[in-house]
Amino acid sequence: MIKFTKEHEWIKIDGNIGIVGITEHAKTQLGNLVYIELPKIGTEVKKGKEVAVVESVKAASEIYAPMSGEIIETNVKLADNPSLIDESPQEHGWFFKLRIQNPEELTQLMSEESYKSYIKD
Amino acid sequence: MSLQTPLFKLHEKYQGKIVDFAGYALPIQYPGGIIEENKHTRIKASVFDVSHMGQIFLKGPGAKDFLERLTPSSYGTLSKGQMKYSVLTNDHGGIIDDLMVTKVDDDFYFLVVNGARFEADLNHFRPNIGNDIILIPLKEYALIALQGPASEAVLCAMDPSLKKLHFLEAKEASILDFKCWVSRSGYTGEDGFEISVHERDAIKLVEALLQNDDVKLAGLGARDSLRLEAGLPLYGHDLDETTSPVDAGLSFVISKEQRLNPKFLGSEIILKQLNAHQKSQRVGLLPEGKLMVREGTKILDKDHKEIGIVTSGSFSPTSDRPISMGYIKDNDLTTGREVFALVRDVPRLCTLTTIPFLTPNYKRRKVA
Repeated sequence: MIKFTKEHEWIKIDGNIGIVGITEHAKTQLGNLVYIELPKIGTEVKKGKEVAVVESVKAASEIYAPMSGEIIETNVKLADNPSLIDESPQEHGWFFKLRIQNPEELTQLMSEESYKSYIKD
Repeated sequence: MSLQTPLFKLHEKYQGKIVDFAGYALPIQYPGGIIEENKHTRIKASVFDVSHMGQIFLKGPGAKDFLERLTPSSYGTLSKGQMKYSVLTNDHGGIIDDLMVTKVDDDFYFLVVNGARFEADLNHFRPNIGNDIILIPLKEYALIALQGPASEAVLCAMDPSLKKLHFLEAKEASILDFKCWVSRSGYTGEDGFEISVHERDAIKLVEALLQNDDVKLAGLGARDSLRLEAGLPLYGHDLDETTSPVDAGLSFVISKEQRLNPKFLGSEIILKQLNAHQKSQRVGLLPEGKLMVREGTKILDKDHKEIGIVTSGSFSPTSDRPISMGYIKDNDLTTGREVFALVRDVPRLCTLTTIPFLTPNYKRRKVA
């Protein structure tokens, strides 16, 4: 199952683990990415709070946690090669994995279909 | 609602990502992206729409005196077709705007000012305009920059008379039979030209430039990273009404004549600063690692005391690393000194360096 936020993050759910990244649409809006700051493993994050930063040539943009939980893994390849996000935002360009604390938050996220119509408006 | 430049339809056709800049709808980038556009400019040549810049004719017997009152430069030795960079100063020694001044003929100058400052400049000019000059804003002219090492070959193939131009020289030209005013200048640190052409001819001219395989379009994003690499200040970021030309590292615009016999606004304050060798200065910063240190970031010394502020900062596609510039008020501005930039509340190591970050590639006239 994959869900989306209004801030253009995606979260793939696998049991109680969520893999998080940014959408194709977000990537296109940001332009060439040149730097990423990822959270430390073990950090407790709250839904909707800043958890990472991506920087394009022009600007720094905050990434928000789509759900609350504990960071259990980050994509180390991104630090050396942020262009992975440009090339493959919804697969190889994932940011981090978190252990989901509150599965009820899922209901507040958008399905792929709703997200697609959301970005059209 | 943003104004459109004469090239707006061309930006749409080539899928420029349009943003509002200085009140105009302009492309921040085309599909290739900022990094590619920046690199292409340093290797081949790029076309930039800079029609948002204010173009003004200044005519009349009082023109030279007017310029020498509003800028700290002198224009007596400028020959026809020569141009110089200068700044408009205010009574407090701050900078109203920076600009290019070209002598077209006796009692006739061509000014190019920042788009976002056009109205402020005109307001500043107004009380200084006597009966002996007139100012004519050129509202119907596009300004097109062709920048990069291939520019000369591209443009001289269209008008061979342009081979005669060296850096900071300008002349009339005929490109595709369109009458243009062309200068050898720019804002990228590369050799290149700026072409002023009537709005009805602008798209045809750019399409003709794009026929050459070496030429691509580039947007405002690449223009900003290119000028930062070249260490060139941007008004509203690195310069404003409270920065003096001395602090900004622009003392070279203050002519010998104006130092001895000052006529310009703010001269009491600015000349005092010049003689005091004061220590607030525009410097270059190299952040450690890949982290960008952007405009507004505080600069700290090793004891974490605030000593300055970043005014421009970005990723440099040419050196594949972040670069910044800013102002530091401290006695020690030695290259290689370690300072800290406070990014998202974390002090990050940076070393001071000289600007520009790369050696400009201008075609200067050889002085015999």
